Amino acid sequence: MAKQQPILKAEDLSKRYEDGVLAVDHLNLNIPPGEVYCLLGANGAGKTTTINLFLNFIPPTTGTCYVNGIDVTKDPLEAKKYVSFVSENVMLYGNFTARQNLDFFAKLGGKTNLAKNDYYQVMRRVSLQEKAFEQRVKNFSKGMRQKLGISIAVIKDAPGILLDEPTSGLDPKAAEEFLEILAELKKEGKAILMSTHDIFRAKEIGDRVGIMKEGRLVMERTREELQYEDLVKIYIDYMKSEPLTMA
Amino acid sequence: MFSTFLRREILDQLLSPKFMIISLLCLVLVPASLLLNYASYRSAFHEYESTRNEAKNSTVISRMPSALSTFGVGLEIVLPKTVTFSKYQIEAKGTQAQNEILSNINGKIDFVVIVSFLLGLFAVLYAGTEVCGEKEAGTLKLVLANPTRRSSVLAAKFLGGFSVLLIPLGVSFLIGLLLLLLEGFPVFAAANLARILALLGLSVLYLSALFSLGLLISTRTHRTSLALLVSFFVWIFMTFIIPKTSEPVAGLLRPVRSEEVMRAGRKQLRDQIEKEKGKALAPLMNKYLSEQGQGTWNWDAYTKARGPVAKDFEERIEQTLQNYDDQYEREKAVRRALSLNIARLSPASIYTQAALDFCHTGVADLENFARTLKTHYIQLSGALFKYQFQDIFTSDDGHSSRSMGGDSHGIEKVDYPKFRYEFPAFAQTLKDTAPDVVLLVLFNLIFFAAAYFSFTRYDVR
Repeated sequence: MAKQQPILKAEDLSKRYEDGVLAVDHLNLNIPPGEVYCLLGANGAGKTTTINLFLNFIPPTTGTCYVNGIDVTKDPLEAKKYVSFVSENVMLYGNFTARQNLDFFAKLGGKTNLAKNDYYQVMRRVSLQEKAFEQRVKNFSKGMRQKLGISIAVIKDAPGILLDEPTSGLDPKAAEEFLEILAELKKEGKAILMSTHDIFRAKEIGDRVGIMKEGRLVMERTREELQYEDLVKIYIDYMKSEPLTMA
Repeated sequence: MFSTFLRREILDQLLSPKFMIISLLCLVLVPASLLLNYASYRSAFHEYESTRNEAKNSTVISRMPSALSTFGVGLEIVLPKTVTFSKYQIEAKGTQAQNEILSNINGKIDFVVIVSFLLGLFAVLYAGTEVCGEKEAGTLKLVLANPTRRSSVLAAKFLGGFSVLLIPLGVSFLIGLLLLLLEGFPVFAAANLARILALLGLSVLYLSALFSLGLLISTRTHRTSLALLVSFFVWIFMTFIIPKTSEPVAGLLRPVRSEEVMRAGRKQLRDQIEKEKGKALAPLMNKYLSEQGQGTWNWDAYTKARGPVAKDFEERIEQTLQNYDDQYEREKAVRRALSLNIARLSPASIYTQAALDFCHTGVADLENFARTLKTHYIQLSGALFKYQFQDIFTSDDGHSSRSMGGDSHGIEKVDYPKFRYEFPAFAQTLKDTAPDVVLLVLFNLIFFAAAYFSFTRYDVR
């Protein structure tokens, strides 16, 4: 079977900030369709910087990010057509209802001819309560906002999804619901890069799990490999140790 | 894409509490200030009509107040109500400010002040949080994660936010105009309507410059608290510090004598020539106007004989004082131009200067009024003052002096010239304010271009 082209790809990607901090150090990633890649690491390990580089929010110092084969620094607008983003704390327009927010971001994502029912369907799919559809977002709980955030990604229907610690601060039930939606998106063939602190959920959802430390990807394991290894122990060992070469 | 942003921006602004606050303030202040200032104008106009009817001839004239001071009081409050002309002297009397002490201290509230200060503050604060507020809220990151051009985002923020800011201004202004119409203000008189529309257009141009400045501040900051602080400081600098320091700074760079010093110098020059004239006329006085009970007293013979002798001296006085006044006026004009140009560093000052010119209460009207007074003085001088004289005779030791004043033959036939004051024509005001309009356009372009370049490099993380 021919190897699938990656939707999300980082090639020798590095980012050094003006203050000299090396946030990402020669990172290589390939995420094909239908794969969830979980990036683990402590605060400041470079997970969020990696996502910011994929979104072209900051320019790389060396290397390149590709989305669907498009160099994000050369053609960021084209690249962003093929990627959705859900942040740690989805903040939307508080004065707008859930549907109005969804409508606005759907239009930004290029979906201009959707009817009210299309929005409702997507919101139902992410298990947002019906009564919240036409409520102002400013009164939403974090769990509801995260669900609405993922519904924005769902409605955009981009082949790549970037998630920056999306379950952080969610109660277990909401986090579980969130992962169920991710599993469905994965089945649809989306390539998903998720940064997270949650080792257990990373193991549960991730087809591959990478550990970042001081900007470097110090370990990478597949789902199969993790069946025989204790991810928690590996993670803690790497966090305690000096930076290591790729295992 | 742009229309999506624009719709969202407009809707978001309309639903925000700040829109309600601005609307409420405008709806109260704009119509109220228009009505109060129109009442003040009517009272001034009534006073003008009664003093004009009382005046026996055109040596005392009354200044007609500007109806458009209803929109911008400006210099109306400090311009004289009446002016008295006498030989070698023009004396202004009575100002509105004398009767309205508190208004003089604190300044009057009018449409120009509301736009310049209040809406100017709102414009800069409103726009000051547009970009950094979205960054702080986290929505900017979500927006720019989509295939959206930053230029579209900024243009929509400008057009959406600014058009929403104009709603309270437009609505309150229309209500104010309607109330003025009901009170009898001739809004639709051609001269007034053109000026009112020009004033509104100028207000929009000024507010858009401040809105662009606010956007620039917003793209240079990353926290709303800092953006608000910077916006407020910039507003204080523009509306208070620059306008209020421009005149003292110009005074330091181009010192001009005070009115008192000028008057003393003028008197000295006049007295000196009067003394020479007195010496030359002394033989005639001794001949025709002896001290009481000591000889002849023939006033007619004296006035007839003094004419040829006094003529040269009187022409010299006229010419010397004219040169002296012209020199003083030139000095003042240079300093005034310098202070106005320093003040033009602030869009608020530019707006106020131009807006008041449209209300007939600005510097252009002050200068126009001064020119008209001078023309009238020259006419009066040719018709009346040439018959009036005052001869001063001082003894050689300087201990005693006699003063003889009066009219020579012909005064009874004087045809007093009519005082005609016309406000500058609309075309003239357009010409006068053109540099200010160009400057406001430039400020708009500079602030928006700077905001755009800053936003293209804005760190959205």
